[in-house]
Amino acid sequence: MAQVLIRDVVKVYPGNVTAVKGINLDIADGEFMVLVGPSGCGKSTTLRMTAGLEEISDGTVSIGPRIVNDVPPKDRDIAMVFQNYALYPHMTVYKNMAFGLKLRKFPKPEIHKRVTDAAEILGITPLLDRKPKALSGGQRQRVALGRAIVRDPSVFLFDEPLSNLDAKLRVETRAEIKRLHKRLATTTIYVTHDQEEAMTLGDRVCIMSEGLIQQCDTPLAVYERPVNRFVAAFLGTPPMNFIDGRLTPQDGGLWFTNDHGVKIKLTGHHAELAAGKAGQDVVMGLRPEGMFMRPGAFAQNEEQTLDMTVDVIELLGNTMDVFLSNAGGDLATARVKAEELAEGTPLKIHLDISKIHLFEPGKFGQNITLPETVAAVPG
Amino acid sequence: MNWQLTRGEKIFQTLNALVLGVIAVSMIYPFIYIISISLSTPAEASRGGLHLFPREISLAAYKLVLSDSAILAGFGNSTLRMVLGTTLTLVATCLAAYPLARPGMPHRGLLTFLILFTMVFTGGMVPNYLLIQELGLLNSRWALILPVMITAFNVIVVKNFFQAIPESLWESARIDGASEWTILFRIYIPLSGPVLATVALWTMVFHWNSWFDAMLYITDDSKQVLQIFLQRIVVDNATEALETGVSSDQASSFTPETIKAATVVVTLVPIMLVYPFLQRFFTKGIMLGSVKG
Repeated sequence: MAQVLIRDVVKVYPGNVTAVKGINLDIADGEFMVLVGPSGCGKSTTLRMTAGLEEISDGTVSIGPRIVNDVPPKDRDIAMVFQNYALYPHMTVYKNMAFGLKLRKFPKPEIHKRVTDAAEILGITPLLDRKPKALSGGQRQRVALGRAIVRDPSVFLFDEPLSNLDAKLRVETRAEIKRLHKRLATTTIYVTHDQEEAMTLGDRVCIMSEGLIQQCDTPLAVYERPVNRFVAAFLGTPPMNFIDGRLTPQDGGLWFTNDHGVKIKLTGHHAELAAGKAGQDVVMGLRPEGMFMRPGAFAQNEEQTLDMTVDVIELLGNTMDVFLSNAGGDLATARVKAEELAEGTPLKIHLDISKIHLFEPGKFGQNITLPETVAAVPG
Repeated sequence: MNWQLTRGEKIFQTLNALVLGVIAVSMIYPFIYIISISLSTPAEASRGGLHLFPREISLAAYKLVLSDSAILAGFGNSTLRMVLGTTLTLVATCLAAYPLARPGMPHRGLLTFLILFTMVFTGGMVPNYLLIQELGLLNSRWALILPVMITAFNVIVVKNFFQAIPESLWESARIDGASEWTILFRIYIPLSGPVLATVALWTMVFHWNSWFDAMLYITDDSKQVLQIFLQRIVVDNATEALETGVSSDQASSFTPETIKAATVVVTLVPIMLVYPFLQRFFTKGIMLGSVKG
């Protein structure tokens, strides 16, 4: 096991395309770090540079005590699981798992022990004599996991390993990876574009966009305290709602208002932190689960409501997503307990003010309602 | 599926079948004709008209052809040329194609261009002859193998196949600790059965059927290939050499025509037998299960 340190790493592809723009990341020994972001954000490039499959244009990557920029992949003491399994199709499962050990000249009994032990852990012992084409997608991915764990590497690298599995299998394999990490406690870097995967697997989640780390923190922290609008929008299903407006001082207090009749009184730390921005344009972010159809324990204040109309309802079982709009074109989605509700019904939506965020305008607008200590540590 | 064909479609399909049928018959009939003649008695062979099946079968022509020491030597030389030539072609082609298939290979585009250039522009017969002469390969079996050992076309075909192998297999093997040699011989080549079988078949057919280079470079009959003897018998009517020492009784059981036909069949059959053994490699799906796709 080892810690991984990524220092000022830059990746420039031919044609002067910069995929990674000087990122810094410390991954602790035994930590499960998830890199998540949309396509082209630089997460896979970062992983591949760590693996040695891409050259590093600038900066350093260290695994354990040594800088590995010029170390070939085989000598980095890593194992990688690929999105498309990358099993050798002409070899049996046993030979696929043993291949790396054989090349490293492990004694035969040791190879046999490691392969059978790994197969036992992953429940693939009956498949050892089969070739990959005789396996299902889930079984192939387990073999790919097995091939990685027999090596007992310092660092596991996962490149979107569940993307090709169906939804049910994805959930099962996700749990398996989590169990495996608990058992082996090996440092893991896991790349995905699926925020649900990121939130459920990672000790920490690193959200990337446009070659930069936007925020890196525990799953709960990035969800509840997003440093900017991009992070807030990326995490959560349904995603956070955003309403454009401005901070208006009125009646001795600070209000979020816009020209479409939205008027919400800011209280508590929101009012304190936003006080210096009075008069400025801001974007209000509201989590769908922080919106209620009637007053309750978390949303009692009548000055923190939105007048909206029900457009569409999507029933999800015991909850439902209610798509709302107002006359000015502001849109929002509320996730509420399922009940009878007709489309076109006007509603007064009560807001849980603790779930509200205020961002500066723009795609990466900073969250102005976070204490400075949080906002200042994006990477 | 069940749908009604329009009148135009019916006419088109009928015409299609007719034209393709005529083409098929025009190709298969010469084979049947030659086989039929080679198995016929002299009287039957000299009968005019269509020959589909010999009415009176005689193996005399085959016995004569297969007992001729020059033809048997030619057979051995052609087989040696085919086996050695094909093996070396496969090895050399893979060694050339692999680096050209790797994205990280420096000057890959330029090298590919230079190889492609030789497909369009070649030295021609006289410079080739002079080169073989200068290399001291005249009247050597290597003159039939080395100049054609590696061809641009084969390299491009194999290179394209290698490039279709998922990059993640290469990456996975690198992380597993494989060298480029290991990746080529233990991953890429075992996965390239279909393309290697195709190149092998092309090369085998080429070597087996080649006549012109042997005529140019080989002067010693003991090193001569089968096609040269076939040419002498079929084109130059040199059947007398085979008939030397044959009794008059035996001589009445074949004619120059049956000897020619039997020689053609003898030279055809070995290469035709190769195909079924290579056919299994032509089936697709060897990459099945390797990667999701």
